[in-house]
Formats: sequence, structure tokens, C-alpha cells
Amino acid sequence: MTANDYNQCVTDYADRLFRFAVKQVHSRTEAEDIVQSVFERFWKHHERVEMAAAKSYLFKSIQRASIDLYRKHDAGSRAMGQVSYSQVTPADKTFENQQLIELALSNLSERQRTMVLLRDYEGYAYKEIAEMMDLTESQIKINLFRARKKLQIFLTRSEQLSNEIQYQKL
Amino acid sequence: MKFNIKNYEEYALDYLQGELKDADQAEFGAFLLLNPEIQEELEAFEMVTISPDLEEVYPRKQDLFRKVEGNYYRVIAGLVVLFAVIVLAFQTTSETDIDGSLVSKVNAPEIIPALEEASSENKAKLAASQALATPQAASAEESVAPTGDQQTIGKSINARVKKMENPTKVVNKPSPDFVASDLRGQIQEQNLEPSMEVAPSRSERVKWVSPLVQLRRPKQIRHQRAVEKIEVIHPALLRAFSGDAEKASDAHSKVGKWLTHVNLVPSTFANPERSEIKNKLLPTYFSAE
Repeated sequence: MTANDYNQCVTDYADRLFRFAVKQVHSRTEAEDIVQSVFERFWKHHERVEMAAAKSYLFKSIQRASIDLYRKHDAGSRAMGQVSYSQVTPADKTFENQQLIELALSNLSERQRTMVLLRDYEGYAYKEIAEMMDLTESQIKINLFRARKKLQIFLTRSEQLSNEIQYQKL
Repeated sequence: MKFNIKNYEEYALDYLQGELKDADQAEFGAFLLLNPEIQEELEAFEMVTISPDLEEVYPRKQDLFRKVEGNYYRVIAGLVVLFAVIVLAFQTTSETDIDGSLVSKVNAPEIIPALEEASSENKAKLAASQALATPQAASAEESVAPTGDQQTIGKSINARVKKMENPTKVVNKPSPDFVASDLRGQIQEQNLEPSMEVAPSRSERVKWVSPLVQLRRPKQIRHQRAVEKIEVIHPALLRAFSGDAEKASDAHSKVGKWLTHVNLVPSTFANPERSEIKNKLLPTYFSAE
């Protein structure tokens, strides 16, 4: 890969990687740092990376960096995986649907969240996700099905809870 | 049946999205009819997908771009290295190649007249000139010749003198014109004879010699050629300066200094055969010192 190709990758993937990282680490600042470090490493090895494999390389790197960061920090200090339905208060009713979905996403396991993001954000095929995550295609399909079920349940219950609280106020 | 309670999750999403093959789609429907609880689960299933927030962009994207540099730096670096190698090789050739030292050593013009004198005259004349030298020098040279290795050396002298009669055939040898003119200049300095020609410039004197060829030349060959060179030029040098010198030892001393000056003697006598050369080829010179 040439320097021009590298710059093309920055143009094509920097924003998408950033959004992917934000969803993974739930912090814009940390997501920025992760993206920067990933691209620095990518530049170091850019001559050995084929253009066709660049996207996969970058998302895989972001995923690993996010996991490393997640494991380094105290899991209790962040919202990831610790959000309860009670957190969706009446004030949360003002949340945009997108924000509620993000909250639901953070309730997924690390692996399931990555799969959902790769599938929905980037449109990767099951096979590609399986290769990136070193899993089988069957495992990806099963985990995705379970993740979507979780999302559905979380969103449904959040909505029910909000309705109940509003009804009590009335 | 392909689908069962253990693997249905793997195909559930594809079934809901209609991405199974027709046969599999029908078979999965049949499986759901047999498992109403799973059918109920899937009927309640809503596909929740998330879409990216495109307004969220990486704020420091400009910092990630890299300057695209051409190959100019590599080309320049390559040229510099090539130039350095050529210069180094050329210098090495000038310093180490004794056979070519008379051509490339600019600081040793004094030695060239003697070489020219030896090359311009035939072998008989050279012998005659040796006989005309001072008695001390003549006796010293007579003691050089007698037997054994000296015969071999004598043959090489003959071959060398023949070579020098046709110097243009030897790659690293000064041209006759150049040697003659340089000889004139030298003789003029010593007030031996009037000058007729002007010495050529360095660019005319230094001829291109492939550095690789020179560097590959074995040391023994260089040494042998140095010996031959000394044998040829030493009598001529003695003859050239014996007329001007008050004592024969002074002439020998001058010859020795010139030989040292053009680096012939030190490089030669660093060789294991140093003592032989010292004792047989230049006895007078060393006794004078």
C-alpha cells in the first residue's frame, strides 16, 4: 500500500472508525485516542498491508484497542454492561431514539456489541465478521440473533417503564 | 430435518429476513409449526437495527494524513552514495596501486623523469647508462644481479622494459608524451638540461582506471610490480643525479628520498620480502641512510 492509499483510507474510514470506537468505549476522547493510535500503527505497517485488506485491518485494530481499553479500566466506572432499566427515567423520555438504542447497546456483551456494530454500521457479511473476530459463521449468526433479542427486550421494557411512570404522575 | 431446537437460532435471522433458500424457508416454517413456543418467540421478535450517526466525525482527521513524498530523496541519496563510492575507490586506487602510482600521484613528479628515461631508451642504453654511473653506484648495482631469484627478477625486468617501450598498451601507464614532458620539467628543476616542453595538467596525467579492477589486483602482484619498478628506475635515478651530486652517497640519498616520497619504498618493504629487496636492490641507498 502506498502513502496515497493510506491517505485514501483515512478519508474513507476515519469517521466510521471513530463512530465505531465511540460506541465501543462510550467516550469521545478515548475514541479519538484509539483512532489516532490505530492509524499510527497502520502507517508503520502500511507497506505490508494490501489495500483490499485495509478496512478489515483497521476495524480489527479498533476492536482490539477498544477491548484493551475496556479491560484496563474498571468496568464499574463506566456504563458499559451495567445499565439497568431503572436508569431510563421520565427525563430519559426526552432522549432521542438513537440515544436509547445506544443505552441498549451498552447492555450487550462486548462480543455481541461488536457484531451488531460491524453488521449494522458497516454492513459486513457474516463471513467477514467471522473472519475478523476469529469465530465461525454459525457463532456469529447465533450471537447476533441473541443480541437483537436482547435489544428488543431492553427497548420494550424501557418503553413500558416510561409509560408506567408517566401514568403514575398523571 | 435440518432444523432443530439446538440450531434454530443460527437460521432464525435469515428466516425472518427471507434470506434462506426456498426449500430451507419451507422446512423452517414446518419446524416452527412443530414448535409453537419458538414460533411465538419469533412472531414477537422485532428486528432492532442501529444506524450510524453520520454527523459524528473524527475531529482530528487532518492530523492523520501523511505527506506523500516522491522518490526524490531516495534518488538523491543513491547518487550521493554512488559518488562517494567512486571517489573512495579512486582514492584507494591511487594510494594502493603501486603500478599506477606514477600516474596518479601528483606529489611525486620527481620520479617520473627517471621512469621516462628508463622507458625511452632501450635496454642496451640503460645498461650503458648504468655503467656510466659513479663507481660506487655501479659496484652496488653489479652486486644486485648475480644468481637465483635475481635471474627471475632479471627476466621480469626485461619484460617490464619491453612493456614500457609500448606504454600505450598498458592501461595504467603514463603516455610517452606525458612522461617526456614531465621529464623535461624535472630536469629543468635540477638544472641538468634545458626545458623544451611544459608539463601536462593533472587531468591529462590521471587516466581513468576501473576501481574494481584495481581493487581486485592481488597484493603479491602489486608487490612484484613495485620491485620491477624500483629495479628499472633506481639506476636511472642514480645516473640522473650523480652528475649534480658531490658524492655518490648524496645521489643515493636523493634517490631514496624520492622513492620514499612516492610511497614505493614503505609499501614495498612492508612486505615479507623486505630484507631481500633492501639488501639486493637498494643497498647503496640504505647504506647512505
